[in-house]
Amino acid sequence: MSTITGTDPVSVTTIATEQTAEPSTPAVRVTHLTKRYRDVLALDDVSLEIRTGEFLSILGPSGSGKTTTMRLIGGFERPDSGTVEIAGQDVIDLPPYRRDVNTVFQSYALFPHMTVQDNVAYGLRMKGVGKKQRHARAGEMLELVQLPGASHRYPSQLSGGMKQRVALARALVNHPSVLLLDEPLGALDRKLREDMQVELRRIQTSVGITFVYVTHDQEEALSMSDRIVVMRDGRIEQIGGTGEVYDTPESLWVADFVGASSRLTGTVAAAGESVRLQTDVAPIIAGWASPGVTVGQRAVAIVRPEAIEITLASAPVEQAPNQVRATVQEILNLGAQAKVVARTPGGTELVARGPRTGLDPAVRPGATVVMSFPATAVRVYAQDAAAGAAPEEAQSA
Amino acid sequence: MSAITAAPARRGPESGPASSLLAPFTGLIERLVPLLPLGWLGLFFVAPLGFTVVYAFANATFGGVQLGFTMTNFQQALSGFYLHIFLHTLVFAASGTLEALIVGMPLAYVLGRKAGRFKALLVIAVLVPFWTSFLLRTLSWETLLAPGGAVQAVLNFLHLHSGSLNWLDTNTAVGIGLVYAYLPLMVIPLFVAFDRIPDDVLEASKDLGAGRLRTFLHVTLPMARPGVATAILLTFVPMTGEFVVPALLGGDKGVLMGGLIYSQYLGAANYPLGSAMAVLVMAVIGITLIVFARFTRGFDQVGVQ
Repeated sequence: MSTITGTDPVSVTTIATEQTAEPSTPAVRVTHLTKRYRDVLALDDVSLEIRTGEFLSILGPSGSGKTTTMRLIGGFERPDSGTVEIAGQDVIDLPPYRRDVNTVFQSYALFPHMTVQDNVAYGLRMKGVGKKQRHARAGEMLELVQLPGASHRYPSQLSGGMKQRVALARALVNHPSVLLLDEPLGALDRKLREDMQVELRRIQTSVGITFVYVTHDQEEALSMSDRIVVMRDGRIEQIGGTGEVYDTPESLWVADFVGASSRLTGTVAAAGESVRLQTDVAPIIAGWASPGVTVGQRAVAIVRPEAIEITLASAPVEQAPNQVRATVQEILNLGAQAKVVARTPGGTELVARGPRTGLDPAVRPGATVVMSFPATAVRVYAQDAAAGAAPEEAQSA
Repeated sequence: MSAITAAPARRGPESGPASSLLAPFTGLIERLVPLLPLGWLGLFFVAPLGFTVVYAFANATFGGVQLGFTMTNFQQALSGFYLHIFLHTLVFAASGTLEALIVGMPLAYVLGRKAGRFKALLVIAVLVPFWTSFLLRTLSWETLLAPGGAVQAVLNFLHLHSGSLNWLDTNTAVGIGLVYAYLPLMVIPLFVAFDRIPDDVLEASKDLGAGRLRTFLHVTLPMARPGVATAILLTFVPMTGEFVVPALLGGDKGVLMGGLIYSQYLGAANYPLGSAMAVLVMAVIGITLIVFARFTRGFDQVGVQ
């Protein structure tokens, strides 16, 4: 538990202040948080430890409780029950302005009546820092977010991406121990968003502050984070490194929500050491089955698109544990990659994805192909447990 | 703000047989429509205003007007008793505006930021009394302020005053009446201004280390500035010309500029002097408008050249 993941090359001097806390003390610890808005249970007994210096994403669809979790850490709301600790200190009774946490708001929330410089320096002004020093620090922060020279402009004169940078500089100026980011890139267009993702990661590494990043965009979470917390209906579904969450989702719901995958439904023929699923197309051998999957049960096998290899049915095929015959429906050109959608005679849709150059030119819509994938790429989940009643319906707020 | 002159939506000839009949005239109609309100304003507002200005420089004959150019009327309006009333009116309107601001600001703040789901209900509650006649409401204050009235009873109960209280026909009564009469004009723009401030901007202020008071002073109030300026204008301008409230609640002592102009026109029949006074009042209002117009701009325009 004492490992501080990912951010070893932190060279900024200010990190020293955080080291005064015990190395095992998490930056944030929330326990048994419950929050109800009238009839809606927004958070249901959520416990979570955020490690010092990590980039943690809270990922979930709208209404999953991710923003509520963030707001409880920031102090904008009070939980109905549970505790929030920041650097080992119980902060449940502290208002936002007494917590060593700053926030980047979804809509930037810049002060429209202040210049960029005054916006950034606001936190220092509230601390009583003198004007000269304030402006110098604001200048440094604007340089960090690559926005020098904008000091004397007003927010209304800035583009969305620039406003985002100002909001970031403003939240970092007090050097909080934790920075909360509430879907900060949501309003930006795709190209800008991707640039900002790289940018955020760079800034996080250079300042060495713990980032808690709330998003509904799984790609964003995967590309930036050290760890991801997947939330659903006010509960934590899974916590893990980005690889873990993608490669070994603990539930069918997580497998669906994080990354794309193909589903094959069937009856469990063998469980335990080697898992076998009898489907309408072929027997599927899986490397893993969720606990509680028993022989005779209906279950779902999940395969990631990049694990599937495609060969023409007429061509000689190497022996592989899992081979499914299907007809190509369409081929989507994604630039460097291509996505192949194929359908089995039984109507099950399988999606494969890989480098475009690796695809046999004879594979085109209407062609019969064999889709092969190793057993290790297949995970089997009980059908009812996660995929059952109403995963998407109960979304509100 | 003024969308009066906006042209109506353009319609193509394909939008119906009726409009195709009118097609040759649509251009003409579109040009005439904005002229209607302009004509109305010109005929009933600008023209009388022109008369007033011309009269202000004219010579007063006994009960009549002889056109000419003289500064006598202004000299008269700016001397002695008239000057006193003129200055008194300005001070009165300014202090009345300030009082309305002091009373209205907390009310508008609560309505805009703290009322939650009761917001609409409370705003209606502020406005409902003003659906009854202005005259009736002002006259009601006579009853309340008269000796033995409700105000006396309340002040006695609170030990702020003892015995009989007669505020009728005093400046105090006029002040109370003015603040009461113009409170909604003060509250509504302030309410809108407070209501429009996004929650997250205030949260950002708290997040960055400001408590409630400092958030109010550094963020809420500056962001409500256009609303504050509008509210002050909407209150100060009509207060300067008000004459019903002083007439009803002030008696002889409560005479303000509005009453004075009224009596010059309809009592003494000295149109040039009354006009000169009216022009002076308009000049003050004009200057106030010019000064405050700067502050009524929204922040999307601030700093944009």
